[in-house]
Amino acid sequence: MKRIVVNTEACDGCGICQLVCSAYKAGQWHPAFARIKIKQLQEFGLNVPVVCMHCTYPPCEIFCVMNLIYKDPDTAYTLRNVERCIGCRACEIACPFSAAVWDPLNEVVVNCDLCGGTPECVNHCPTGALIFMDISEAADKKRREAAGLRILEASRGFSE
Amino acid sequence: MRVLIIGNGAAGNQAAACIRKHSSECEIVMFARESFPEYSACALPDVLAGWIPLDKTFLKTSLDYEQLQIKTCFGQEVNNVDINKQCLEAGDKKYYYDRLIMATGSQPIIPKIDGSQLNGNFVVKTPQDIERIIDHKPTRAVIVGAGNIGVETASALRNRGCIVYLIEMQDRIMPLLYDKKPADIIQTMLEQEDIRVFTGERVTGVAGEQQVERLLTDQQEIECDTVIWAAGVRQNVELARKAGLKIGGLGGIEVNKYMQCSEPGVFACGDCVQSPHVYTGKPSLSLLWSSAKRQADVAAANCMGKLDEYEGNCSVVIEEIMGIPCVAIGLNLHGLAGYETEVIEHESEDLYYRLLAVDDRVAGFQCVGSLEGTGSIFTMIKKGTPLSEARKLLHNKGSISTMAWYMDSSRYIFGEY
Ligand SMILES: Cc1cc2nc3c(=O)[nH]c(=O)nc-3n(C[C@H](O)[C@H](O)[C@H](O)COP(=O)(O)OP(=O)(O)OC[C@H]3O[C@@H](n4cnc5c(N)ncnc54)[C@H](O)[C@@H]3O)c2cc1C
Ligand code: SF4
Ligand code: SF4
Repeated sequence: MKRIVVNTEACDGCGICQLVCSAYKAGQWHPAFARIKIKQLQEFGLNVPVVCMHCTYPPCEIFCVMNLIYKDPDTAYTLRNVERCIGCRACEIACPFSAAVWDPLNEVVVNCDLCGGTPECVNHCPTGALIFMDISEAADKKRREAAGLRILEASRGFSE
Repeated sequence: MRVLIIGNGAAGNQAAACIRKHSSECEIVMFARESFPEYSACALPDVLAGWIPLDKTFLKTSLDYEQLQIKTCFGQEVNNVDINKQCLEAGDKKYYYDRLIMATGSQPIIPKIDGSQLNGNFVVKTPQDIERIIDHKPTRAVIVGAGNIGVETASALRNRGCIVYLIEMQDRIMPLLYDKKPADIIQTMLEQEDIRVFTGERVTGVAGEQQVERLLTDQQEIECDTVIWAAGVRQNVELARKAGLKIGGLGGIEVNKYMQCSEPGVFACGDCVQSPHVYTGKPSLSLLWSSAKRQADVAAANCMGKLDEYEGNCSVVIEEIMGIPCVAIGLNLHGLAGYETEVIEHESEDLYYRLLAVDDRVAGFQCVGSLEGTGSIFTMIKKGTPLSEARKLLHNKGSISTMAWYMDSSRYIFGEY
């Protein structure tokens, strides 16, 4: 199962991923429309991209009052029938990772859909902070350390 | 294996879907009083406001039940459950089960006071209720009860151009969700929308010849053509009671953490049950969509012999008033009565929040003006993360870099802007 894995030390906060996401997913060119968000940890001089982790048991799915969030049976991506969304924002609060994001254009809540398997943000990330890799590899501490990666915890499915 | 489900609401349907995930063979039969497919009550205020069409509230078509291989006995009241014989009666037929799931939900209360049966009295629960209200062409409406449903209904009718009054018996609106200070802020926002809010008033009756003409409280008379009752719900537990299932002190069916009732083979979930609160561990009523679904997942899994435990109730309620988000998570001071509670509070022009902590644990959170970081606060409440640990985490480069999403909650944890 491939997911976006975040190497937390590599991001320099350029914001290209957000622009690319906004372009592909919303036809805009502004971070406000992106489904990937960069958390600025100013105190530590770090920028960390945060994006949907496609949880195995997604809290957003349980919280959706229109039952429109579902796990794709083949890919296990967390997807939405967004045309039925009433914009109540319940799923936004339910997401532990602030990865269910408000789409101000359509007044609905959306999450990353991994561009159907070829995430454009990863393709355009110039620093290698975003990696599209198998989740079990990310969860493997030895391999991770060998590769010199400090990984966003959620992107290894909380398994340590 | 045959599972009978009583109820076609959030709980009943989630249970059915979950059983189907576990087994493609299990026979599922669903009973409901109403004859229409599943809908979302949460979307009804939006319909009343005119923001979305009525048909958008329906979540299923009859085809969806067929595809999930759920047999439906809709428009049929279940009159009796015989737990010894493992069977129920609906219409004049008997249906036998291996497992039974009670998902009988709740009903809004219309109190038996003078005039409450007059034409012009309504509740908000089903799509038909909304149709009836719209057909009635309300112009001056009084909403009795300022819980979240009352507040949403008031906003909706105001949006339709009605003159709207909102009456609450307690000293503040949404008394089970918010403390006085944030409730007052939200009340002011409602008043800016031109909703006339009166707290600390008891409704004593409705007056009128054929129709609703006035609403009477212990302090005033309000001229109106419409009264909407949003002052609480009653759990549908009569069937369970008759069947001999234990009913708890709060009026809900008693269940354990596997959503199992007091008798073997019977599970219950949704508005009709009372279950432990995630924080206090004491019995509580949740009456929320998300709890109904999660409880249904647990009931369905255990019913199929798969172990799953319910974490406990934790309420999350969000309103948008004039485009400003207001959110209440977990318990307020009322819910924490008897606990020594630390209040971390902040107020500025466009943001108010308060975080309630007991013994170093976040127990509740109320915020007006932003949703930022609420997801991680909610997670902390659910997990019981100590406040001191959260603070340490936010100061430690190594940990926070791998859990960066917690950064959004930093201001609440430290009480900064
Ligand atoms: C206007 C409104 C707005 C709301 N907004 C929100 C919100 O924003 N967020 C949120 O989390 N929650 C909200 N809620 C609450 C939420 O809708 C409920 O918690 C949820 O619908 C409960 O689902 P349920 O399946 O337990 O019960 P119900 O939906 O009440 O379903 C009960 C079912 O049982 C059937 N039944 C009962 N007795 C019998 C019998 N004897 N024989 C046959 N059938 C029977 C009924 O016909 C029905 O199908 C709102 C509720 C309302 C009314
Ligand atoms: S939106 Fe949030 S809760 Fe939903 S699957 Fe993605 S990370 Fe999980
Ligand atoms: S905002 Fe949309 S997707 Fe999120 S809970 Fe509400 S209806 Fe569901």
